[in-house]
Amino acid sequence: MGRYIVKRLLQTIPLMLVISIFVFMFIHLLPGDPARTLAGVEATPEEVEAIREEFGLNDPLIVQYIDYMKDLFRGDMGRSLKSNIPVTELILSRFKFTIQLVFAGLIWAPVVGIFIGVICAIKRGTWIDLGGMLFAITGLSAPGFWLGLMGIQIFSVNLGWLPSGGLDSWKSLILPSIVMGTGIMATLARYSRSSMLETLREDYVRTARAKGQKESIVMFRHAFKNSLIQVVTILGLQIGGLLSGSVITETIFSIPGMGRLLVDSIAYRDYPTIQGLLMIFALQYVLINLIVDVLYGVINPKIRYD
Amino acid sequence: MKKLVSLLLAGAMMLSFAACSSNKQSEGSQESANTPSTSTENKTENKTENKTETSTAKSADNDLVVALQADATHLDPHRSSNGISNQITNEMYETLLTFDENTNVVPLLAKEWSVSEDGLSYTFILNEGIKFHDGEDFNAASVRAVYERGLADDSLTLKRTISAWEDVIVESDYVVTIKLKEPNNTFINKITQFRIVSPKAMAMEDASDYLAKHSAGTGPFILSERVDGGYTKMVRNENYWQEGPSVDSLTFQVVPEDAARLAMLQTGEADVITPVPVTDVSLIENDPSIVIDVAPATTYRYVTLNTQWALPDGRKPFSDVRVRQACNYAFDSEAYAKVVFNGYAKAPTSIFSDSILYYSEQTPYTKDLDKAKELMKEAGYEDGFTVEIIVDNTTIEQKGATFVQQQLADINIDVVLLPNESTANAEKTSAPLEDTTVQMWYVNWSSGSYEADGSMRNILHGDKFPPNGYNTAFWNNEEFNQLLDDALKMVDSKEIAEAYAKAQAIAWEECPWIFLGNDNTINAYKSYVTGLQYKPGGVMVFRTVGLEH
Repeated sequence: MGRYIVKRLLQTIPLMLVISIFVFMFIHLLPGDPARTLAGVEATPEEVEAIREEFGLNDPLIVQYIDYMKDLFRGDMGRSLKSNIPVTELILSRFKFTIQLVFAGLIWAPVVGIFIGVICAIKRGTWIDLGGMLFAITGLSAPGFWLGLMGIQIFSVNLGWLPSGGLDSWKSLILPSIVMGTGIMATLARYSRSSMLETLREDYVRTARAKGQKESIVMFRHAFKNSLIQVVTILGLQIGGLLSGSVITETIFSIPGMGRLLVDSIAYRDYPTIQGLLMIFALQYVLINLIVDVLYGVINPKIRYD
Repeated sequence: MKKLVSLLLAGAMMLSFAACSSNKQSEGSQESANTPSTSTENKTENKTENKTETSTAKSADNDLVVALQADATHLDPHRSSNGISNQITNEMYETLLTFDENTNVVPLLAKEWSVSEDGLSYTFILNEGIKFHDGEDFNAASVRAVYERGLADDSLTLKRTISAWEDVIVESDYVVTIKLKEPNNTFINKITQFRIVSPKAMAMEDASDYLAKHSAGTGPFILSERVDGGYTKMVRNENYWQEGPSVDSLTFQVVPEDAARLAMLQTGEADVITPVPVTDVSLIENDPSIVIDVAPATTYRYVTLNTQWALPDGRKPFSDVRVRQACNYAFDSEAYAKVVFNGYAKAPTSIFSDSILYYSEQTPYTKDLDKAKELMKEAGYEDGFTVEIIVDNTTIEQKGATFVQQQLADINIDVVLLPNESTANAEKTSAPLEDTTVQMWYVNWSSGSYEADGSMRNILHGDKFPPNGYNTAFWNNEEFNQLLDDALKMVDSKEIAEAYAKAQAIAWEECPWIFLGNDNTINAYKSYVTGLQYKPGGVMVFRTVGLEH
C-alpha cells in the first residue's frame, strides 16, 4: 500500500506538468489585456506599455512559461498583477476561508445524505422512501443562490438570529453550511439509495439471509458496507468541487474564498493568480482521487493495489 | 492537433461559463422580482428622500462599517487607478486641494494657492504642524518627494498626474511651487488626485509592499488590518490635524451581492452601503431607520457610432451626420431613464454631466420619430441597415443596450447585441482604426478630476483614436480638436468657458454618439450615522463621520 501511494504521488508530477501547460495556454488565449485593465481607462498607451514591460508580458509566451516554471520549482508562484501580493500568500489567505466553508458543509451533509439514502432503500416503496426522495430531489433542485438569499431574508433580516455574511463567528457559518451542504446531502441520498438497492440484490446478501442472520446484521455488515464504494467515489468528487471554492456561496455571504478569487482574477486577467489557483485545484483533485482509491481498499480489502 | 486543442479549450470554457452563469442568474432573478416602479418623474435631484417618521435607533457600537461592491486593487495610492481604490485610500491619504460636493476646489493640506500670470507656476502655502501616520512631518519637501516618486517609476498611475509638470520647487518649509511645461487649465482639478505619502515610506526599497499593509498619509484614518477581497479596517487617527471623525474605526467590507448588501444595512451589520442598485430602492424606501441619498453621478452614458464603419456594400452610414442625428431623434432618453434606471437617471443636456466644470446646456434631442425617419430618408437609409453593438455583459448594461436596440428598430436600424466581459471588450475597443471591429459601443465615461477636458479629450478628440484613447466613433472634427487644445492652455476662466461651450455645441450638433443620459449614485445609511460628506458624483467622504450610540 505504501509503495502504491508513493507510485501514485510520483505519477502526479508529469500530470501536473501537462496541466500547467494547458492552463498557461488557456489563460493567455483569453482575450483581454491585464495591463490595460490595471492601468484604467484614462491611461496613455505609454503607461500601459510600462506596465506590460514591468510584468514581462511582452516576452514570447514560451519564455513567460519557462520563467514561470523556473520560479514555481523554487516555490515561488509569482505576484498577483492586480494586488501585487505574492500569489502563495494570497491563495493561502483565501484557502483558510474556503476550507472553513467546506468543513461547514461536510460536517452534516454526508451523514444525513447517506442516512436518508439507506433508510429509503431499506423501506423501499413505502411513504418513507417517497418522502425521503422527495426531500432529496427538492434539495438537488433548490439553487444555491436562492437558498442563500432566502436564508438571509428569513434568519438575518426578519428574525435577526444569524449574521448575513462574513466569517466572524461560528454563527456566521450556519447559513453557508446549509447552502454548501444541501446539494451534497441530496446527491448522496440518491446515490446511496440506488447503491444500497443494488447491493441488496447481490447473492451474498441472499446467502446471508438464508443463513438466518439477523436482518440488522445483513443490512449493515453485508449490504451497507459494500454499497459505500460508489458513495465514496461521489463524495470525493463533491469535495473536490467544494475545495475549488463555491463562487455562489462566497459571493452571497461576502466570504473572500478561492472561488471568488478565481472569478475576480479572471476579470482582471491576473495571470499568475489564475495559474496558481488552477494548479492548486488540479492538485486537490488528484490528491482526493488518491484518497478515494485508498479508501476503497479500507472498505473492501479485496481491492488490490498493484 | 490545433483543432483538438481548441476543442479541449472550448470544453473547458463551457464549464467555466456554466459556473459563471449560475452566479449571474441571481442578479437576473432579482431584476425580474422588482419590476420597474411606475414612478412618473425622474428622481434626479440631489436629495435625501424624506421619511414620514424618524427613527430613534442607535448604533450598538462606535465602529462604522461601509459595505462596498468590490475591493480596492491596491492600497498604494500612487498605484491604484479605480474609483473604489480611491474611495478607500482617500480616508488615509490627503491631497493639497480637494472638491466639495458642488465641484468647487477647496483647500485641504494647502491652506491657500495662487497662480502666476502666465499660468505656468502654481504656489501653495501649506498648513503647518501636520504629521504623517508614521510620525514624519508634512512640509514642502514631502510634496516634492511625491513628484520624485512619480518621475522614477513609469508604472505608477501617479505618472499621469505629473506628466505635464516641469518641476516642483521647495520655496521654504511650507511654501511649494509647481511649475508646468505649458499652461493647463485642468491642473487645479488634477492636483486633487495628487496624494501625499510620507517620504520615509516612499523611500523604502519595497514601498508598494509596505503601503499595502501600512498607511503613511495624513488622513483621518490609519490602516489597521486588511483581508484582500474581504475588508479593509482603519482606526481613527488620534493626531489628526483638523476636525476629524468621532467613530473608533472605519471598515470597508466587500459585499459583491446586491441583495446581501441591502440585508446587511437592514440588520445593522453595515451602517452605510454604496451603491444601492436602482431596482432595490423600493425595498428600503419605507424603512424609518434608513436614509437614502440620491446624487447625480458624473458618469455619462452614450453609444459611440463608428463614423468610418462600412456596410458590406461599402456605404458608411454613420459618416452621414443625418443618420447620427436620426439615431438621437429616435432615442427617447426620458424613457431610458425610467425603464433602465427606474427613474434614477437624467436625460442628457450636453456631452457630459452637468456637475462637471464648464458644462454648457444644449437643446435636448426629444424623441421625434417623424423627423428621424425624414433624416434617414434624406440620407438614403430609409430601409435601415444592420449594425452590431458591443456591450458589457452585466444585467444593467445589457438592459440598456436592449433599450437602444428597441428604439432604433423604429427607424429600421437592426441592432445586434454583442455582450461580452468588460476586459474582453476593452481589448476590442482599443484596436486601431485599421483593425477595429467596433461598429457601436454602449459605454459610459466619467472624469476622475471632474473637468471638461477629461470629459471629452480621451473619447472625442481626433488624436485619441484607439489605442491612444477611446474615440471609437473615430470622429475627427478639426474645429472641435482646436477648441480643446486652445482651451487647455488658457488662463482666463471666461475664455475657457466660451471655448468649452463651443466644443460642446459642435459635438452635440455632430452627434458622434447617441446621447443616453446620466444615472444617479444612490447611497443608503442608518439614520444614526452623522457627519457624512460628499464629493461630486455622490462619492462619500468619512472625514467627520460619527455614530449615535
